[in-house]
Amino acid sequence: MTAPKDIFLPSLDRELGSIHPINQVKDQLTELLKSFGFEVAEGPEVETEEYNFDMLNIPASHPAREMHDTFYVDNKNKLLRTHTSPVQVRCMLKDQPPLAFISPGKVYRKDDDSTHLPMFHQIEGLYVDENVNFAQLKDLMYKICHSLFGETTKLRFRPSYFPFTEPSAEVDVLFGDKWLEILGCGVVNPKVLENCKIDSSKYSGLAFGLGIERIAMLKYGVNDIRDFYKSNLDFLRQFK
Amino acid sequence: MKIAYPHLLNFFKEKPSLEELSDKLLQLGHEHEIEGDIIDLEITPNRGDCLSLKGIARDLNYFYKAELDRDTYEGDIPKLDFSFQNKAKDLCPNISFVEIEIDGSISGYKPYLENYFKDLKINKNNFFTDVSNYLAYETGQPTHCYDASKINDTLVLEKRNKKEKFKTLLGSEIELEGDNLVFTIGGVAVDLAGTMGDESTACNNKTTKVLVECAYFKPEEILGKARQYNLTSEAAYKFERGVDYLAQESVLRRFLAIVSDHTKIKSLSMHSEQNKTDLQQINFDSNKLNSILGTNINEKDQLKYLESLGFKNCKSMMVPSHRSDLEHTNDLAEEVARMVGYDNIAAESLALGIKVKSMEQSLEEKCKNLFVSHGFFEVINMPFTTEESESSISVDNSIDKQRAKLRTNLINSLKNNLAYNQNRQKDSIKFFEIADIYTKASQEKRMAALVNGRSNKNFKEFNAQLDYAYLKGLLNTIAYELLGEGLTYSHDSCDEYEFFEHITFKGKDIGGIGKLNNNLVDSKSKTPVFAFEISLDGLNLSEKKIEKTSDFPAIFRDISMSIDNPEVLKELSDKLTESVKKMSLIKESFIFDYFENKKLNIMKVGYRFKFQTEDKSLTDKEVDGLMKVLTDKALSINGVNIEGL
Repeated sequence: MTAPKDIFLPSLDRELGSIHPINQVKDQLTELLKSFGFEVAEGPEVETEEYNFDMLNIPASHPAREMHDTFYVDNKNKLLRTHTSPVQVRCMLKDQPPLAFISPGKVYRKDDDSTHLPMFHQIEGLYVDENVNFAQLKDLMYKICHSLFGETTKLRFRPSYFPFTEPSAEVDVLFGDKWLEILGCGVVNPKVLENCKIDSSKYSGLAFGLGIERIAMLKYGVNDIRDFYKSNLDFLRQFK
Repeated sequence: MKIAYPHLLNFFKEKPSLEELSDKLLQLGHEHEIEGDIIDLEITPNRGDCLSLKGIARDLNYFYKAELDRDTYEGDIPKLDFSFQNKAKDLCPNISFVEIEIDGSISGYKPYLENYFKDLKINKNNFFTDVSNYLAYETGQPTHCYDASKINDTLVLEKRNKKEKFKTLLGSEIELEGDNLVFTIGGVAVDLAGTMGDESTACNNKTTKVLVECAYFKPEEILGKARQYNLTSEAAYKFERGVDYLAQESVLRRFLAIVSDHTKIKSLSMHSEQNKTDLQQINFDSNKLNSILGTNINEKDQLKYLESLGFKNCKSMMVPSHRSDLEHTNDLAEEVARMVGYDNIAAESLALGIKVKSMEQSLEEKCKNLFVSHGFFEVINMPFTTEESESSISVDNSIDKQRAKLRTNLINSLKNNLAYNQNRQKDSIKFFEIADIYTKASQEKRMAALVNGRSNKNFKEFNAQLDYAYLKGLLNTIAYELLGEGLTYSHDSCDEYEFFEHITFKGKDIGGIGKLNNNLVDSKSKTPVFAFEISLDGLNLSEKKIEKTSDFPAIFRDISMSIDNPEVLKELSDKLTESVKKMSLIKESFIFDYFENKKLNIMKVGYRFKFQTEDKSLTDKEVDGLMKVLTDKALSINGVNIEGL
């Protein structure tokens, strides 16, 4: 029997599209953190100073509140959130502990150069319960970084400053012979808990935040952050 | 902040290597880079106390036993007889002045002063200003030098709102406006407090009599002033981050010591005001401190660490006056943790006592997957635009005029993405974006998609163009498969589109779909572009109900009809859909064939119906009866013919 003609015809290949690489990383991180027990929470990108700064213990004298760092809108009545932490404030005001939320999303800072963009993505996490401490925060950070970069990845914790956490830390990861800053974290400042009507004598919390573009750049070897936002098909095709 | 390694070593009994010092600085939270002997530190905004050699040495005291006291002028200093009025004590509670007259000859600088300029490559100015600059480097406390011979009236510190010209000591001319804390003489501002003095009272190489002012200003009062007037001010940088509120007199005594180290002082006198003297107190609870850190550090060691940083344990913990950033036990915990080293605190296993409520995919995720499987690429666009509409939100301090508004739709961003790629010879484009849109009236999650060009890269579809039916079909797939119900379309006109249909779902207007007006796409390509944008708010995945499947055979019936215009096709489709909904035996129906002869203005359309039931095999008679209802319905429309009937 002779073979049918169709066998010799070229196949009807069809191209798959792709989720944007930033959203791929965001989704992977979200799934990872959900597997640890965190729930996803979302909130508005146009925020008030109260939620973006005041409730988070960022004083009026903090440089972040200056016009050169924050985009203000609507005659300074509102602003474009500078971090996703206001989402967590809303979560804390809504529920009492134990709480475990992550808030992935877009954030805005008044920057525009080869390494900074006026819009970028963050994923922040918050866990509030009784007896939460810094040593447990370290454990969680190890788990996150080892999941992202491999079990043998070396981490370095060093003190930093975020008004909403105390103690605060930056976590560096060793790539080759270079330490790269990956995330910020800390024990939730008791003042923030009190601002959110949570009894800080009973509960404590831990919080952390990662810049998604930074993780994506490391993961995919992208050197210029602007490449993510040119919508160049040749670039996007590589992330199927 | 740059410091020279040898300058820092002068503060220590032990002499750590640069590498060792670097490790400790990092452990304490002082990120830095090293070039030769210069350490370039990035001090966090809460640590204004570390913006000096002494501050860094103090932080390293526990490791290297710092000798923090420098030579100061220890003699009695007569009271300064000059007229000063502090009208802003709440903003400047502590302020001191010293007036010094020298004999005028400075033969050269002592090594510590000379090396400051040489090692850090800083230009010298005049003697008094040079001492002032060095002192800020050494102690972190800025001082301001007035040429005393130019102070001929009462010096007043006041906060006032006055528009006035101000020529800085560096020669630049600025206009003060709004509220400013200023030193004035005779009603004229001579010093923008904490930021920069003016030219008229500045010292120069001929100055032999100087009035040195040394103050503590509330950080929020100084914050942003230098930037507001486009001035570069080291003093403002330090005041913004907080200086030691009790150091003023001792810093002036150090100033005197340095001056007397270089020349003979002919006369000196001092004036001091101190209204803020109380030290901050924090309750010290060793157990609480350990519970914050998850450690088991004994109390004695905790106290040892804290005392090395200048804390005094008197019932509660007295916070040193150079630390304005500490308020509660968590702050003390961080200080102890820094001394121990964050890396030396063992991790403690954490298991969140919370269960995830749902692992199911959302509508947004399912839509994304559908798009991707159809060859669409997701894009993310910045929300800033130049387009203005009545509902658009303005950015008060935009980066530039082109980004002064927040976008009110996604389509325009997708059009820009299209043009970018068309201009780079891409001939098959499928994009989608899901994002929140903010307008003055509302916040909405939207989803938009755009197609243009070739259908696919294979021999059958290469010459076929992505068209309206393709995109509408995709939207209908989302509606039927994910939302569980069809959409309703109604034709309308829209400036942006050559043709356009409103989309409603369950009676609610959710968006539109159409063929974009190519003139509004910034590209030379004129191939048709189709797009839709809908709101996802209020749309939810349909609840899946699993129905029993039938083991009995299905019967299929096809009918082909010819029609003479597209509007008849719409009517035909609506009537058949309505009838099919009422016939429970029809499990499936769809158009299996469509042909259009534009020359003869005839369209042919073929429908297929699947009949089946769960409890028996259907008979031809039952099926024929239902088919007759459908054909009668079709034939009741003018312009519909069924061949063979």
